[in-house]
Amino acid sequence: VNYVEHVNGLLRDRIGNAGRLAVYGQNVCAGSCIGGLMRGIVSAGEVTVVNTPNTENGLVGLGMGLMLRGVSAIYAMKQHDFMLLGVDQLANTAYVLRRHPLSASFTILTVVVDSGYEGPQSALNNLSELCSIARLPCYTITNRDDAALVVDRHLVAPGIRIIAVSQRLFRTPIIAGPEFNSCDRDGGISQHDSGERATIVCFNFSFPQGLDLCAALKARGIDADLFSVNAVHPTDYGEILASVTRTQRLVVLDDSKSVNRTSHQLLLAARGVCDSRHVLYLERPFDDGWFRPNPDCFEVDLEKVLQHTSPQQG
Amino acid sequence: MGPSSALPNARAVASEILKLRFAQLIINEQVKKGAFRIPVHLALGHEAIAFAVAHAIGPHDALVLSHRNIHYNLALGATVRKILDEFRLEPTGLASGGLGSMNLSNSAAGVLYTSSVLGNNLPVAAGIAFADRLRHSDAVTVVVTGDGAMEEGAFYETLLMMRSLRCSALVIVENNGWSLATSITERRCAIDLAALAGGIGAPFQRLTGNVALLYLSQLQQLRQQALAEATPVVVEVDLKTLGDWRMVNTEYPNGKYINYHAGAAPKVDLAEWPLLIESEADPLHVLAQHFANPDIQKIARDVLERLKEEIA
Repeated sequence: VNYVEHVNGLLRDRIGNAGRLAVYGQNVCAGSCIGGLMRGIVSAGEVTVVNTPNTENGLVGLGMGLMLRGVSAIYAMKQHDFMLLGVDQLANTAYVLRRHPLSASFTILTVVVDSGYEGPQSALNNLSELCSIARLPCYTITNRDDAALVVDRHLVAPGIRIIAVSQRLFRTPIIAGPEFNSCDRDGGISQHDSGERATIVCFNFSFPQGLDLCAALKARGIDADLFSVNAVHPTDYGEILASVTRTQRLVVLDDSKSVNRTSHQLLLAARGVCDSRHVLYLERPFDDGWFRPNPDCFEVDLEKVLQHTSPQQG
Repeated sequence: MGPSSALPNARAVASEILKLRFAQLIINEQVKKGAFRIPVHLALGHEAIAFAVAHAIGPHDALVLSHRNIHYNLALGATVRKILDEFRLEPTGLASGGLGSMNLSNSAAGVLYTSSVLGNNLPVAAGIAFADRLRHSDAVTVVVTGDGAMEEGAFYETLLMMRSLRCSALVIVENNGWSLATSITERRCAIDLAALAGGIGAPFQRLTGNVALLYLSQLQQLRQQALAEATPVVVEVDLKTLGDWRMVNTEYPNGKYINYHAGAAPKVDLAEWPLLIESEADPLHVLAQHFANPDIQKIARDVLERLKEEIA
């Protein structure tokens, strides 16, 4: 089972028992059904699935109105950068609706275009900026267990949020760590491996690299705690900080092409529990590669990490 | 409030129109004194359409308003006291002091959402209307916008969505000819709304003349059409936002025309007979044609007295 098939299966199950629900978007039930993400999700019972015109700003507002009127909604958006057209609704409307006691749900389910070849406009490969301006809960999905938790807890829960999948991962096998522990019971942060020598934390869609890194370190006798931060909004890093306090080695992976990374919040918090010389931050440097088509691979330098986690370091 | 085949009698219409006018004049006096820290957008001259909407809507209909919403909130039953308290951001206000003026909604009266951002309320209205369709409700969504907001892409997107999703809605365009400090001719080409609506197969109706009962009768029919045909109906209302004045200073010694947009209407005062201009641009002028002078002035005095008691 690949990534998109796995998420599609979870969506079909959750939508099928969600009660009254409107599922809509461009090509949501036509053509490839958003690359297979929405395949097999059809109108049945209290679920209405409808293809819409290309009115992204309007479609974000449509979901707000549906929710306000008590009908839960999922807007399946083919590309997350389309959401830029709906920022007015995402911000201004959502701010006002915070005052309302909301019994219904509105989820924007979107695909982050992070495959690298889309051109200059693919510089936006994350949800950080959108989440920041919207002040909404946002979640990324990178692996089997987190996918199940995020979809189950949030897809049709009362209120508004954004859930994003990665285009780069679409056709790759769905992955899972050797362990699974949801740190906040909410899918915001989860732990996928444990060890004493280092704390590895993955942001945005970098969990596959983190999982590989963890395995490579383990093969060299270095065991590490492995965390996936799925929450793009401010969250409680308590479990991660407890791990860092114990291991005194922090490796942070963030593949966002952003100047407003969520991981900065963890770096700031970690200063209180760990010498900054023991923090390794693996990010995408800001350069021209953000603005031209290229493979856009996020590669982790294993030697650098080995050097960082070696007992002689520091 | 609510749809009824029986139309209100003339005295009731007069009382309500006068209440809308006096309430705004009372608030204007407070704005002139600088009583509020929030921006206030009065709607003097918009009373006829507000009256008609308040009486045309059904018990389950939703209203979605814009930054200039005071006339609808008042017409739907908000008291002057509640509005004043809201504008002072007090917990006794219409929205417990949490919304101020430009986002002022009142779900108990059917005003589900109000936006300060031009065009922002339109897609939300489409969602509400679509929800009502999915719930098999007999409700119509009434969304109010203006000749400035209809320039936004959200206006076209909303009409397209409402039409495609077969939503029953009245899209009311209050055309006062101005957006902030520019008149239509100063900022854009003319828009033939009938043709624009017709281009996507949506019915269109223009309301003009400020005859409150005629507006009500027309809106009742249009509401039925929206329901029967599961369609948005575009309603363009010709009106003038009263309260304009001439600013005289060293730069403009001969005076500069200031169209009223927001804040105080400095040349408008609270008077026992609150007519602002002698033309059909003032709904009170139109109303007064149907009464003997002493009668309408007696009604006005009674309404003003009641409002003064309310805020005492």
